[in-house]
Amino acid sequence: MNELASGLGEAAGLLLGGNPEVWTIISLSLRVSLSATAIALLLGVPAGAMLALARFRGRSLAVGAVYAGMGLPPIVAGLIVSLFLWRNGPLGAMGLLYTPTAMIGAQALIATPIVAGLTFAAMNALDPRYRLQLLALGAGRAQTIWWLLREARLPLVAAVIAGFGAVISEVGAAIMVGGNIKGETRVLTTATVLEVSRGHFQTAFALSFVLLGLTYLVTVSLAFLGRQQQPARR
Amino acid sequence: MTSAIIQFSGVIARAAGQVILDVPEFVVAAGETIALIGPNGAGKSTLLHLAALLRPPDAGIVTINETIATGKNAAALRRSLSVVFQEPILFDASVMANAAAGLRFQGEPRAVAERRAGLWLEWFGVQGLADRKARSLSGGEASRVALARAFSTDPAVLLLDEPFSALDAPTRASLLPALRAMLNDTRAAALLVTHDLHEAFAFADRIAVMEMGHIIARGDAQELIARPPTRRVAELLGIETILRARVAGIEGRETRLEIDGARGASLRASIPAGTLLRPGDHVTVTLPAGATRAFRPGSNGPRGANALPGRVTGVMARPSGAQLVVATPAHIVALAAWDVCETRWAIGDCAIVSFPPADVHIVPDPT
Repeated sequence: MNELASGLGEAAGLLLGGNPEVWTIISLSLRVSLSATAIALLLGVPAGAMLALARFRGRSLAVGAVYAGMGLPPIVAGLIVSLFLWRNGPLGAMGLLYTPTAMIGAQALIATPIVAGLTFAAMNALDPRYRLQLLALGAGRAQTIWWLLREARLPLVAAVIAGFGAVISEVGAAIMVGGNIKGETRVLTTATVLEVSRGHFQTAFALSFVLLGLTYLVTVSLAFLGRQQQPARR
Repeated sequence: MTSAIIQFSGVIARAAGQVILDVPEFVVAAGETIALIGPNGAGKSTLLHLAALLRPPDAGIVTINETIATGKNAAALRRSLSVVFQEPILFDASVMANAAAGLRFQGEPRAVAERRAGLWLEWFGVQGLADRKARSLSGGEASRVALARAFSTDPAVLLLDEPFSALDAPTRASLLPALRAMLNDTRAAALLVTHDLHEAFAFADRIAVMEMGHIIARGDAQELIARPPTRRVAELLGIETILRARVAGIEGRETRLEIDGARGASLRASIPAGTLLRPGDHVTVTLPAGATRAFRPGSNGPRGANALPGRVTGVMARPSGAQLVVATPAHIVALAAWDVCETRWAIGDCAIVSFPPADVHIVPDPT
């Protein structure tokens, strides 16, 4: 328990002391995870909406794949991205392995099915009469999707929070495609793992507290975006 | 001839393999108001959804302004229609954003859409709510916003699926005349699905009666009530008195009918042109309460060919007068005007029911 208390103290020290290494780690963590979440948002929300609204052959198969993807282990996501980025892989020539870009790609792969699956569930839970009313008002396909997404924005914000939560906290993919290189690809989770392996539990706790605080700040900010949603009257 | 805006030809709709709607032909012409009535499951809402192009027919075609509706052109064709559903479906946005939504979907700039929607909100008396969240409205307010939204796109036809069923009676009573007046002003056609016969008669020029997925009667509302084609249609129209009788005699254009099970009670009815009756024939007759008068024996009530004495077995007070059930001994529902109600009507009172032979309708098809 002593480590916990002194870890909290060290966390404050790390942040207030202006330790440049810590601030680099924090900013990279944020950059990688927020970028991956943004990609997941751009891909996952339309994909989830399409699965909920369109009827096509193989739809249930696609829904099953998305749900399975929600449980994709980060280490597997890291391995898949690595396969593409290894020197003799299809994208090897780009030299992206062990860069933040590779980490963003792997984390986007983790977050996209989560955002898509939760978007699908949110859109499916909407009263079907909303869609009928939009059609009756003469809304086109894009207008219908946009208005329905607006209607489901509270669960959509939750979907984005879940996606962000999954990637800011994962370590397997970040290590596998990032390599935990000091000053380049080291993020809060990989730094924590390193400190534990060195026996620096106090620093590991300090980094964990910073990670918790960061996650809390970002998720609260995201939730704030959905605050205008009022419960539907029945 | 007025032009058809919505036209059904050989339309069939199925659900789970069963035919739920079979309408060989149906037209909503410019400027006319039609009420669709019938029991639950008759296919009224299905017909309205097909007319609104919210579902395609399983067979047959629906044309809007002489264009055959397809999956591709449905969105464009829908823009000359407006639908108001049973419950006002408003989106989680301001009242103004909701009211202007249809116009925005048609590509109107926000300022134009909001100005036009604002006029309709004003017309329906809810302009003061424009900035409110739509979800914070009461049921009556939400219905008014939904109607304003429906009118704001200047539709050729309004399709109304029991739009007042969730409202209390006073709100309904204030909205229905407002809607009727608006339809008169705009010359928009309207198709109203309703369970409420009073609403149907107050609203529509024409009535279509549906049952089991078929339109079993249609026509001018007053004409249908006066002359329903079948006994079932008379029942669905709520015609109060339906009797079985035997032709006892024929005198010129009138017949004397002995009411079945009424121990010699008889009434006179005009014989409709083209109807051939013989003494001994069994017929079904209908008599709307509105065609009758009940009065006390000895008072100066109307006298005529039909003046049947009896005892009151039921009394219902109505704003237009008392509605009585009089056992003559056949049960006839009759109206007593307030001006002859010197004393309150009570069960057991003696009454005379009078009605002209021309208002006794001999149903062509007694099924």
